[in-house]
Amino acid sequence: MTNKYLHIVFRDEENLFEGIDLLRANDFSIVDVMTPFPVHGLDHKIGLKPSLIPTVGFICGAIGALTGFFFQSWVFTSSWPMNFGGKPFFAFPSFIPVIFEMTVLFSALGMVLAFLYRSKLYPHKECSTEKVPITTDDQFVIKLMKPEGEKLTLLQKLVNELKVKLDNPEIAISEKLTFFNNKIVALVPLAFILCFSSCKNNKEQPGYEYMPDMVYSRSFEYYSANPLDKSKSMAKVPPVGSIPRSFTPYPYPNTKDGYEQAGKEWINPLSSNDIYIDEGKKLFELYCVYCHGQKGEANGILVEKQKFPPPPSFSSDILKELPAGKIFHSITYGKNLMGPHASMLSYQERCKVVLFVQSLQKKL
Amino acid sequence: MTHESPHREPLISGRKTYRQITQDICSPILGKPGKLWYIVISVTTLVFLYGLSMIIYTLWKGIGVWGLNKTVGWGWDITNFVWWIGIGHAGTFISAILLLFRQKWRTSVNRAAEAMTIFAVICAGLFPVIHMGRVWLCFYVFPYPNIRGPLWVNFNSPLLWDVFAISTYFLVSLLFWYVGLIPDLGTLRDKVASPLKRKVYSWLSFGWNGSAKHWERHESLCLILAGLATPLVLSVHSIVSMDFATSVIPGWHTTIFPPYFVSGAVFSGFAMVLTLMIITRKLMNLKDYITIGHIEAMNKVIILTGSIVGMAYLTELFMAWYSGVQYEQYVFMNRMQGPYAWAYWTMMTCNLGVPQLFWFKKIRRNVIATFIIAIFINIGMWFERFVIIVTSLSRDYLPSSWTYYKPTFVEVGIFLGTLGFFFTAFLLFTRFFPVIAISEIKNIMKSSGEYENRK
Repeated sequence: MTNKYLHIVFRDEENLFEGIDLLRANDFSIVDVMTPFPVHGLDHKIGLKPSLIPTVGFICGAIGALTGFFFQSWVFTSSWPMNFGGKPFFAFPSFIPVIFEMTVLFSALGMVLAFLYRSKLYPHKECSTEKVPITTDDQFVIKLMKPEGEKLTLLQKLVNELKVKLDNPEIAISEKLTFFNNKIVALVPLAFILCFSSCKNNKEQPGYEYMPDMVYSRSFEYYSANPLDKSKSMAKVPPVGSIPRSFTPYPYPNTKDGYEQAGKEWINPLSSNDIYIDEGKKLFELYCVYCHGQKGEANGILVEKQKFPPPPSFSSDILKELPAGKIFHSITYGKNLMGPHASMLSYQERCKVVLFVQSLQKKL
Repeated sequence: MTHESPHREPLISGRKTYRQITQDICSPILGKPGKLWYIVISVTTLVFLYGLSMIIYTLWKGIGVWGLNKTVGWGWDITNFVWWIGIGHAGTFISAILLLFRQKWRTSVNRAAEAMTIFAVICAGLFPVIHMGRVWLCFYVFPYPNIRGPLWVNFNSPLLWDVFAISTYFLVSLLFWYVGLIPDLGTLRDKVASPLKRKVYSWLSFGWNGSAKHWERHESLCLILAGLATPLVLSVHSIVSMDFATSVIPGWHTTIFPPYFVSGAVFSGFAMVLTLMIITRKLMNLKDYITIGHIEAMNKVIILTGSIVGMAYLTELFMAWYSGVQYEQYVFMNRMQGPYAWAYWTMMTCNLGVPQLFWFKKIRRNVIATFIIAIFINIGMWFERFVIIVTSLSRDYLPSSWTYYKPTFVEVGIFLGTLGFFFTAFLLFTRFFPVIAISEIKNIMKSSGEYENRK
């Protein structure tokens, strides 16, 4: 595409205005006016419509505000509602800062992109100053479509008149080629290809690591192999006789003799009172009622549905007079089909359950 | 033509033509830098590299190499963050708020101040990122779809607002600065001699040719960006102050913080602009563009914002007494008399006392006095953040966990490193970009320069 343009060069913006008036009065078509700084009133003079940049800014800002508002609302009410100190999930006041920042960000980005796009400005755009006068220093340039024949002589005459009147405007004729710089566009897919081909498929491999000091612990992992003795784990067996914190040892073994001995010797460390019995009842209702029934009459829900054979009732002859030690022993180690409960109930809790069972024995 | 009062002092001294302006502002870029420039930049680069090595050391070893402990979890890192962010605010203040107020004197300093903003925000952003410890996971602070749920960030937290505020502030400042710079880069492209430089400036100037339509869009874009940046700059430091104000630490939990922080930010920022511009106008021979009148105008902003800051200090003290809350009262007694009293009184002297000297016109118009006072303010404002953060934390709730915090050489090194980066970046900027907005200064030349007197 080849266009023939004429350039008229001025050295001062006031003279430029006179030149524009003269050219417009004589019906020349002004393509553009180029100035080293924004000359006020120029846009009206050459009949430019007001820029739409403010509208773009408003629309983009509104999109940003709505995005901010709906995204935060969605996250906090639907996607991941989390209770922060009892505040409502839809906490609009605390969304405001982010909404505001999103508004500004979208608006600013939108306007700048619109400005660059509409003005066709992009990195490394050709600006051939060899054929066009420099307009970024102190020259004010009117760009005209090159007129033909008589009009060209008229133009020459007008400019000569201006030369006498003003400070030597110059005419420069140039041909301007417009073309799109394809080199940069070609780089974009290349960058994409590089970017994506640099990914690896093997997710087990972390890739190249540098300075991983804080990623890997310097101490040995607890269950890893012992570097001194491969057959052993890093986890050490506790010394003989050590007990966990707040653990009360129970000296009687899980044998028939132990059962009898416990019946004779074991004394409940808790003395019977309403609070302990009440707590024992709660534990009984959690762990025992399903077979033993609410009152120990062996009518629990599992027994009634015949999933389990009935245990002896607390009112039966065997259990009515059963000493506390044997009750405790049975809860700890289990008895017949009943499993051990030591892992579920602490020593104290078992004592409370014993007190409750004894209260049932007395009632029955 | 607008009529200016004959008594108003011109903003550009010397009778310049458009060509002279271009020549004056471009000459440092076209010519070779002097010996002094090389000496200064080698010093600042060394300091920057030292800071960089301290950052790498921190990443290598972990945050344990800092002086922080269980009680004082925020120390120099957050102090530096708030200080740098505050410095950045002056640039936006000059370029946006003063543009809306049509203050013509801003054109001589706005470009450099905007560049300063960008470098300061980079320095500021560094600190929250490295104080996370595991820097490589810093992208966790952004709400992006992830395989952890997706687990989102907490939009109720001021720390998250900070992420949005700082990143938006950085991007918008960068856009504002660069869009304003495009016409001047065009000027440079047409001015430089070497083909390589021409190619680079051609890349950077986006094919600018000063078309009337482009100028129209450019002006309306800059005006609206200024309109957006104005509430933005106020929001950024308000949100930074909410990091403290929404917590329940005595001394932090106060509603005065947002306006107090914003005015403090502009106060410290102008001090830094003055520090830089006084050196720049001397080194680059720009005394005709950055006149004593400019320095005086900035000093007036300093006396205003400095007095607001001083008022805020006194209001805090008054409120502590008036509230009748003994914990609040203790915090301020502790600041004045406790182990950090030296920091408190440094802050009071530098921020409340010294800037009041600017009430005297002679001092306001004295370059050396201005430079010294600006340095005092820079130091004082750093101590303000230190006092707020460290004194409040070091004596919080349980006397058994009270402690005295001292930074290690690593923290000091990182802070020095950011100073090194800041000055290195600014020196490079003065060498490769126009320090003064060429097109904007040409625009005000006739109405505010000595041009009219020629006729």
